[in-house]
Order: sequence, then structure tokens, then C-alpha cells
Amino acid sequence: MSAEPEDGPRQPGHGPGAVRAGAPDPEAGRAGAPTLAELRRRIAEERDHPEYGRGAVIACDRLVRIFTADGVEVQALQGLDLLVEPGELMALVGASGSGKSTLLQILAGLDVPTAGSASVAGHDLLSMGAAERLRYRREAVGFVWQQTSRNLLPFLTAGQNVALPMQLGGGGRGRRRAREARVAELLDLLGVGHCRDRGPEQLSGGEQQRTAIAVALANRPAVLLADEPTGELDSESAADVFGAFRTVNAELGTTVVVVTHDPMVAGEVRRTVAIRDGRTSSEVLRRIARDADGRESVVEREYATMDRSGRVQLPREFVEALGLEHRVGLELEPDHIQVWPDS
Amino acid sequence: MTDAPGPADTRPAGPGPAPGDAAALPPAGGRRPPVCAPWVRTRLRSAPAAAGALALLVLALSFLAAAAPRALDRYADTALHRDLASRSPVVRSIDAEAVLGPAQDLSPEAVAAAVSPARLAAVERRLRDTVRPPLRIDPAAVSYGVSTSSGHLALTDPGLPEVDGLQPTATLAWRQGADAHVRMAAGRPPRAAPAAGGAGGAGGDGGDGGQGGFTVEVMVSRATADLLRVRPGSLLHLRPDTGPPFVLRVSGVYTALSAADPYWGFGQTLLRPALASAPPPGSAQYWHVGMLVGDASVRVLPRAGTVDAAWHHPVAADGLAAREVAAAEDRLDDLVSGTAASRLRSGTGVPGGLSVTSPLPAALAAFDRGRAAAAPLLAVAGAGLAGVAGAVLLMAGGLAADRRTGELALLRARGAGLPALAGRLAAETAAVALPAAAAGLSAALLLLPTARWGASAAAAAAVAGLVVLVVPLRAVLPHRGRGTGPARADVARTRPSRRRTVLDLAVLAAAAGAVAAVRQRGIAAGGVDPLVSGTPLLLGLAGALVLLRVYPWPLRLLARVAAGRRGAVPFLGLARAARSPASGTLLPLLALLLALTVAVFGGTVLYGISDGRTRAALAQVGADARIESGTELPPGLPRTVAELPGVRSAVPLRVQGGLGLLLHQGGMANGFTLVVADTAAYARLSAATGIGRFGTGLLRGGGAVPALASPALAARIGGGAQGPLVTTYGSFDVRVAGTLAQTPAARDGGDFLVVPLEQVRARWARASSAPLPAPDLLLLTGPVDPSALHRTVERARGAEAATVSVRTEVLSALDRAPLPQGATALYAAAVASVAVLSVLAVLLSLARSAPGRAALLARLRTMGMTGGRRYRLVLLEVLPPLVAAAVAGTLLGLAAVPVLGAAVDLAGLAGTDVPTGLGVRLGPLLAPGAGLLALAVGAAAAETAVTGRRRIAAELRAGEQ
Ligand SMILES: Nc1ncnc2c1ncn2[C@@H]1O[C@H](COP(=O)(O)OP(=O)(O)OP(=O)(O)O)[C@@H](O)[C@H]1O
Ligand SMILES: [Mg+2]
Repeated sequence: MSAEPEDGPRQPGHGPGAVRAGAPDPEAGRAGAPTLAELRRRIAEERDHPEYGRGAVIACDRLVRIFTADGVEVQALQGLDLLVEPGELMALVGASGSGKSTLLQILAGLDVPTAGSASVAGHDLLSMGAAERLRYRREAVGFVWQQTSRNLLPFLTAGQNVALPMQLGGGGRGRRRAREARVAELLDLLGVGHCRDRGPEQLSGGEQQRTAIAVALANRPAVLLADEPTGELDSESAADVFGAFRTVNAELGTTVVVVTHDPMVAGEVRRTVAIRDGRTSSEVLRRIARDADGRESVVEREYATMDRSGRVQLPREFVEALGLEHRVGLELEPDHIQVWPDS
Repeated sequence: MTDAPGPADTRPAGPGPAPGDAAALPPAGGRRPPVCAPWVRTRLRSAPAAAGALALLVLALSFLAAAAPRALDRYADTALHRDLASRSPVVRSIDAEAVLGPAQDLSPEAVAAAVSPARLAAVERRLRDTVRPPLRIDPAAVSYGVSTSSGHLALTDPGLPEVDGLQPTATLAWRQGADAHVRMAAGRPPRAAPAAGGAGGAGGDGGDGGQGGFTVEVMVSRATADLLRVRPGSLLHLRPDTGPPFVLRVSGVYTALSAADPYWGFGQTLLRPALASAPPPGSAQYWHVGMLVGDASVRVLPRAGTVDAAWHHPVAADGLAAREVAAAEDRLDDLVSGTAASRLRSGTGVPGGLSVTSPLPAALAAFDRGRAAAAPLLAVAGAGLAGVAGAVLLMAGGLAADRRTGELALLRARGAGLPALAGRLAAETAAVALPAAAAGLSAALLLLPTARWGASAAAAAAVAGLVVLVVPLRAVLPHRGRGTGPARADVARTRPSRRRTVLDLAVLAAAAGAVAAVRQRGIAAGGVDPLVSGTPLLLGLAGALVLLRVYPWPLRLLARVAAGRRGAVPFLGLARAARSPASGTLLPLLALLLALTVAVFGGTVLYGISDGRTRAALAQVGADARIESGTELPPGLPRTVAELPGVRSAVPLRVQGGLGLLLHQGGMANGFTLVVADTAAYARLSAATGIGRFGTGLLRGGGAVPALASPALAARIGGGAQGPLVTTYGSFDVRVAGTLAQTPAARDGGDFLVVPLEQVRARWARASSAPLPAPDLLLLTGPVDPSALHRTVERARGAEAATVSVRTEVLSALDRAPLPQGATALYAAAVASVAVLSVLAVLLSLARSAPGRAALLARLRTMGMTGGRRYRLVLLEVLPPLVAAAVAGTLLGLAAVPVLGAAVDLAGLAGTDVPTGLGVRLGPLLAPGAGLLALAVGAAAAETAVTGRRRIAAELRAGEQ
């Protein structure tokens, strides 16, 4: 059998937002210690190749997050790699407990990884100091949480909620007019301009989440993170909210990362990355293909992600179908690799 | 976006109202709220209940803080004023005196010139100028004058009353403004100038007569006139030791306009004659009277020998503030013996100079002593109140902070800096706290008027400042880290950090140290000591820390037991109690525990005081009432008194003090009191009063008279028969049959011997035919009416020398003594304030957890849980920490009694002389804890009722936040 995709790019890292692994070493998969020559070659390669994640707005490399609660360690992230290009709109999916929220918290600057490296919009999330972190939260990222009530301050109107992050950034009173204009602009863009002077409790769930998006965008962040933003909504408002993300992505060029369980949402983005056990396991890319008659259709392809050392996680169905266990045999063919059960 | 999955391309704006629609719906008020919210105003308007609660708390705390110094000032001032007012003006006077006469080498003419009314007035002005604040003279009570030296002017007329064969003596006095203080009963005031010459006014034409003497007009008081049997126009003859004789013509008889007028305080003999005694060898008694002369006669007074000029300046009873006592004492020192004194001595133009004396320093010193005795215990109350107030403040800050955690986490996640957050919170808090503190201060200033306000303002400002500091800091500090805010910590699961362990151990060590120090030194010894004052508080704190560590165990156990049972209510309730956030439980627990410890300890102090006074009054009277006389009581009195309503028994006793007994083993037992008592009656009496109970069998048996002795005397006398004991009631041998700690008959606490009347009487009858001397002491039991008793004894013939003391009167006098009464009231107020604070703490903590509970109850209502079970659920959630606090607080307050008891002497607060310890009684001990639990149960019932009536939907929606 073959793990090679039929139609996908042979080398990962070509499509927009594909996980870009380091240059694959054909011998890495095989047993045996690297020779001296090989090491030299690797170092040279590392020097010549552009650094990891260059040009990406989000770059996570072997990200690890370990929680200790009551003396028990939980590895929420176990070496997660992720690259996101500027302007991308992508979805993160995965089973419950797979570490999606943990990743988002780290990306939002609310949590610090235990090991690995992560950078967002030029900020190194591990090494930044308190002042930079503050600036990062204020200006570089915006986020929307699942609970509608957690995104907005209950005692402020929608408009005031949107203005608040701008006020937190400081700035003179002279900028009030500019702020007001920005608030109106954002609310209108998200289709909740009519809610400006209402309190959160007077808004529907969908309106609340769209307002929350406006709040998140108030300081023009490069990245917008959303953790199950439609989780509490019915499908219609969910569609509205997701439309809002699209709008934002298209009109403002903001990079959007959405964690979702909603297959409909996942089906609408060009790239969906799946996380399993604290690692990116596979991703789905969609593109529009034109057939001979000129009719357009969405072509969907699933890829397995390969990390920088060439590790690939096989989809669970594949593993179960062939009863793979412990060891598999590999065979390098001219244009693909074959994987066999160990028999 | 409900259509089929579109291409991955982005699409234009999602659905939603077109921009045109967006103009709809301005808020009900019509005006659009500004986009940049005015933070403080918005916050206050959004959470008026929380702001109101904070305002109330700050109001209460700042009022307490501002009231404390003013209450202290007022207590001390009132006590001082009452103390001074209760003393006669004579005792609070500043007196100047000059003695002028031959001994000072002054001729009568020189003296006359020096003591003319005009000169005396000039000196008076000078004196008044010298007595400066803080000493304030009561101008209406000032009096001065000049008089002949007392004792040496004998009235020579025959037929005047004599006591021991000695003639009466008289003092001739001139007093400023006498006419204004008397009412003439007959005749007129003396006016005529003295006439030279002898009897009958047959002298020359006034002026300084020669050897023939003078005729002087005088007026006498009604009592004096009655004694001397004179009336206007009568003549009396006066013969000085030296100089010419005087003829006194009585021009008028007067009575005092008001006998209580301080003016007469310095001249009692001017109102009524007094019995004087000659010097010891003879000690013969004679009458002494005072007479007033007119202005014109002043100049002849020196002719009769030495004259005394005196100026009396009673200090106004309410003119001196307690805080000025030290300054007043300095000033008095200066007046009596300092530079002011020397200036007065030389500068007033009085030959021989003035001497200033005052009994006031003694009075002030006594006041100071009383105040110093009460101060340490008041400091204990103050420290307790301050500690509880601080804990409640911390708790309120913590609860407010908990309520804001989510909001702060969101703000922090959106990039709010800590200083900015703290600033916003501080502004928000200040907007509430400052006006509330100002209101609290104003209330204290208005309700407790007194002069000083600086300390009050500072205290109120400190409260406001603390609140403005604590609330933001407490709210912001948990958000300090890099994460999203404080991690969740359940009360039953949180494990104390190492830092807290160290802190706990430090507090425990401090508490142990404080207890050791207190036990060594005693609470009242050595003035106010912060460590000692804080001991009950430290005990409470230490107990609270231990409780906080122990509390989760039984809770976990209960929760586990409940989980195994069938009912859902115990399980849910206990699980919620265990799952309530640690920060929301621990601080209320701490505040409550401190409050209860302080309140319970305070209760034992207050009960100890009242108990001490009761015992002191009983010890002083020996029964419910006491009639005692130096001589025999009239024979009919016991029966008359016994028939008064309320009297249960009247026990006559014979008491003789200062006895001595020669001992067989050598030496002597000295200075004890003999009590001769009817065995049965005395046994009943001592059983009724609880003083010196004994078995009647002890006082039977033949041989020597069996006696009950005080322990020391019993030890001295030993076992066998001793004697004879020579007494007014016969001589007899005695043997000690038992010991008694006290006897109601003797109240001085000295040694005593109680013997049975029957045997004494029998022996007396054998030795003498005269009747046994009558009893001189009558002890009554029963609720006798004091005024009826006083009246009866006053009317009884032969009982003039008897004194009556009634226990209730003695007790109320103890209760009303100025300093102790004020100090006790202050202490009680502090304890009451602590109680109010603890109620506040309970309500605050309940209010904090109410919204979550309301949401749960609403959810359970949708599942069909009945009201009764919901109520039980609320109780099970709310009560565990309160029960823990109530039990532990009561136990700690109780533990303070044996731990500190030996060190606490409440005599200073109680105003008694006997050492007074803490008093434990079940009622006051359990009341605070039980009251709090009852309050919580009531509040829970109210909460269930209120939430049960509300609409479920609204509740569920509100509960989400
Ligand atoms: N604060 C924490 N302390 C301890 N463990 C945690 C903490 N936060 C997350 N975890 C653990 O880390 C793992 C990943 O959690 P995470 O919330 O990231 O999952 P998720 O993918 O968002 O799941 P879901 O889709 O249910 O939201 C879980 O096993 C979770 O129990
Ligand atoms: Mg999650």
C-alpha cells in the first residue's frame, strides 16, 4: 500500500499555508547513525535554507505545553508544528482534549509554552517580557471565545466594548473622534451597527459574537484567534458569525485561525489542520478545480503532516484497516513511499 | 452562509442589516451613550448593589474608626466631669491663704490696711489672672474674705450652751458678697461702723477705740441664733486671748439662699454651729459658731489678733477636659510651688505673702489612676474591634475582587496593564469610598460631639485610604502573572503553599509569645502594650489559621458520606460547599472567627465585670441589707425591720472587733473580730447569701465554746481549747471547730471568729444577772425596699448612730461610678460593634455566593425540586463554614478564659477593690455564635423564598454571567 497522495504536492510546503517541514532527508527514515559528511551537509543546508517559518505570521515549532495539576502531568501539546501564512483563513479541528484551546491560549499570549518555539507577527512568545506581552495582546492579536458572555463586558454597550481595547492602548482624548469612527466602521462591517448602543444582554448570541469579533479587531491585529466561536449558537447564527470571519479576512486581510467542531465551518475554509494528541496530524486543503467544461468544483485533499525530522502520523483508519502495530516496513519508490505491515 | 459550502475564496460581508438599518434603536433615554465609556460612572451604574454594599461597609467602618477616639474622649471627659461634680467644691478648689498678725510682725493697723475689702478684691483679680487654662474657675462659686483666727475668741456671756463645760467660741468673718447669698430671717445685715467702747455700745463715736474695746454689728445664721438664743438687738461679749474685748450686737438673723451653694462650702460654721474638740489630753468638746460682720467692721478684726484672709476658687466641674489633666496638674504644681507661686507670694502686696494650696491634684491623680487601670482592657477591646474591622474589610475587598475576576481576566487578555487596571479600580472604589467615609466621619462628628476631631478625621481617612488601596490590589494581584488570571482553587482541595505555612507558623508563634507575655505580666499591669492588647485577636487569628487547615477534612468526609447516600440534596449541598472557591470561603471564615472570638471574650469580660460588682456589693453588705451601729441597736428594731415588706429574714448579730487571745502555746492571736450569732439563723443567712456556708453541727458540743475561724486565725490558734477570750459578751474558752473563708458579718476581710449565741448567752447568764448586751448588727435578706428601710431606721429611737446599707444601692452606686461606668459602656459598645461587623460579614459572604446559588436553584426548579428541599440545599451549602466558624470562635473565646484568665484583672473596669476575673456563663458564651447561625438560617430562608418567586427564565439568564 502507499501513503503517497495521488494528486497532492509531492513536497509539502507548496500550497498557501501548507505545513512546511525542513528539507527532508531521504536517509533519515532509515536506521543508522548519521555520518560526519552527512552532518556537515545538514549544517550547510540549515545555513543556506531560509530559517523555519520565515514569511509565516504564525510559526510554531515543536511546541510543548505540560500542565501539572495535583502532581499529575498532562501533556496538552507534545511538539506541535504549525505555520500560518499572512492573510490565511484556516480552521483547527480535533477531538476534545487534543490541545486546540491550549494552542490558542498560547497564541493569544495568555499562556506560555513549556518548550519549543512560537512566534506570532514577529513576537517571540517564549522570550517576550511583560511590557512586550502587553503590547502583543493589545495590538498583535485579537480573540473570540466560545462563551458569548465571556467576550464582552456586561456593563458596557457594544460600541463601548469595541472602543475599550483602543482606550487600553492609551492615547490622547483628541483621538476620540477617530475611535468613534473606527467603532462605527467595525460594527457596520460586521453587520451589527444597529447594536452599538445596546448592552450585551440585549443582543442575540450571534450579535454578541459578531460584536466580539469587532472588539477583537479594534486595534487592527495581524491575527484573529477564535476558539469555537459558534459553539453556543444555532446553525443560522453560526453561519452569520462565520461569514463575519470571512468578511474580516477578505476586507481587512487579517489572518484568522478558528477552532471549531462544526464540520460545515471546517468545510468552508481553504485549509483545515487537524490536531491529535497535542500534535498536528493531518490537514485538508481545498481548491477550486475547473473541469474540461469549465465547471467549477471544490477539490478536497487530505494530507498527513510531516514534521521537520520527517515524522509522519498515519491516519487512524489506515492503521486500523491494516492492523499496523509497532513496526512498519518502508520502501522508497521513484515518486512515493510504500508502507507495509510488519509481517 | 446557509447555502452549500462555497468556494474557499472569501466572500463579501455576511448577512445582517444593511448599513441603513443601523441607525435604528437609540437607547430608551434618547441620548446616545458616548462610545468611550466614562468608566467610573458606568461601573457604578451597572452594579449599584455592589457599590451600595461597599458604601455601607465603608460608612460603618469609617464611622467606627472616627467614633472610637471621640468616644474615648467623651468617656474620659464625662467621667472626669461627673467625678469632679460628685466632689464638693471644697475638694476641687484652688485656695490662696494669708495669715496676718503679730506673728508676722504686723501691727493691727498694717493688717487692717492689707485686708480691706478693696485690697482683698485686688488680690482676687490678680489670682484669677494667674489661674489660667486648662484650669477654669467657676466664677459663681468664687468666694473670699477675711476672718479672725478660729478657736480663740470665747463668748463670755453666761447661760450660753456648753458641752463639756467649755464656753462656745466664735469666728468673726467678712465674706465678699454675703448679702447676695442670704435671706434675712429677722433684722437687717450689719451696717454700722464699729464703735469704740464697752458693753451696751456706750462707747465713743466710732473709730478705733482704745482699751475699752469695740462694739461690732454682726449677723448670725438661724441655727446659730437658735443655739445661742439671740435675736436682732441681742448683745454678746467676746474676749480675745489678747487685745480688747468685743461687744457684738446682733443686727440680723439669716438663712442661706441655697445651702448647696458652693459659696457656703468654705464656711460651714457660718450656716450652722459645729462641735469642736480641744486638743487631745482633754479632748473636751465645745460649740463653735461663725458670725458675719459688715464691710465697715473689717478694719477692727485685726484687733482681736491674727486674721486669716482666704480666696477660694472652685474649678468648674465641666471646665476641664480629660486630655488636659496632665497640663492642669502641671499648672497646679506651678501655682502651688512653682514660679507662679513665688510670684504670687511676692507680687500681690499682701504682707507676709500668699500661700496657694489645692486638693485638686489628689482628685486628678485618683482620676488618672482609675483611667490608667481601665485603659489596658479598653485597648484590648479596641484592638479586637480594629482587627475584626480589618478582617471584614479584607473580606469585602476579596469578595469584590472575586466578583470581578472574569472581567479583569478579559481586560487583561485584551492588553490592559496592571497599573491601568488598578487605577481604574481605585478610581471606581474611591468614588464610592470617599463620600462614604466622609459621611461616616460626619456622622461620628455629629453624633459624638467633643472638641478634638483630628484623630477622627485621620482614622476615617485611613479607612478610606485602606479601602481604596486594598480593593484594587486584592483584585489585581492574582492577575499579575503571564497567564489569564488566578487558577481555580476549591476550598476542600486547595493545598496550602509553603509561604503560607511559614506565615501560619509565624502567627502561631506570635500568639504563643503574646500569651506567655500576658500570663507573666498580666493584662492590666504596665499600661497599654500592643502585644498584650492584641492577645485575644492573635489567639483568634491563630485559631482561624488552624481551622482553615482543618476545615476541609470534615467537609470532604461529609461530602464523601453524602455521595454514598441516596438523597441528592445532601450530596449537592455539601459538594457545593466543598467546591466553593477557596478565596470566597477563607476570608469570611477568618473574619467571622475573629469576630466571634473577640465577641465571646468580650462577653466574658462584661459578664465578669457585672459578676464582680455583684460580688463586691454582696461582700460589702454581707446580705441584702445591713444595719450597723457602733453601739447597741434599739431592742425593737429587729422586729420592726423584719416586718417590712420584702424582708425574708433579719438576723441580729453581735460583733466586736480588735480582739486578742493569749495562746497556750505562747504568743497571741491579735486583731480579730468576734461574731456572736444564733447558729440556726446564721446558718440560714450564710446559706442564702452564699458567704461562708457551714454545717450547723459544727457549732454544737460542750466544753469550750465551739468556734468557726478564718483560715489564718484557725492556723494560729491550733486545735485545742484556748482561752479565756475576754469580750463584751463575757469571757469564755474557745476551740476551733471549723474554718470559714468569709463571714457576712465582717466585711474588712480580716480574721474573725464566729461563736454560737446560745452557748455565749448561757455562760453570760451563769456569770451575770445583767442582760446580754443587745446586737449591734442586723443583716437582712430579701428584696427590701431601700427607702422604706432608710425611713424606718431613721424613725427608730436610739438608732441615730446606725448606718444602713442596701445591696442594690451599693450595686447601683458601683454601676454608676463615673469612670467604671463609662469604661464598661465603652467596652460594651466595642463588643456590640464587633457583633454588628460579624453580622455584616455573614451577610456579605452570603450575598457574594447568592447569584450562583440562585442560578442553581432555578435550574433545580426546572427539574422539579420542591421549595423545602431547595431550602435544605441552601442551608447545606451555606452552613458548613458558618458552623465551623461559630463552633471554633466560641471555643476560642472560651479558651481565652483559662489561657488569659489568670492575667486579667477587671477591677479597673468594674470599679471594685477586689480582684475580679473573667466570668463564664453559658448564655453570653453561646449567644454570639448561635445568633450568627440563626441569622444565616433566616437569610437562607429569605433567599430561597425570594428566588422561588422570581421567574426562572430571568434567573437562568442572569446566572450565566
Ligand atoms: N489548566 C489546565 N490544567 C491542567 N490540564 C489542562 C489545563 N488546560 C487544559 N488541560 C488539559 O490539556 C488537554 C488539552 O486541553 P484543551 O483545552 O487544549 O483541549 P481542547 O482541544 O480545547 O478540547 P475541547 O475541544 O474539548 O475544547 C486536556 O487533556 C486538558 O485536560
Ligand atoms: Mg477547547
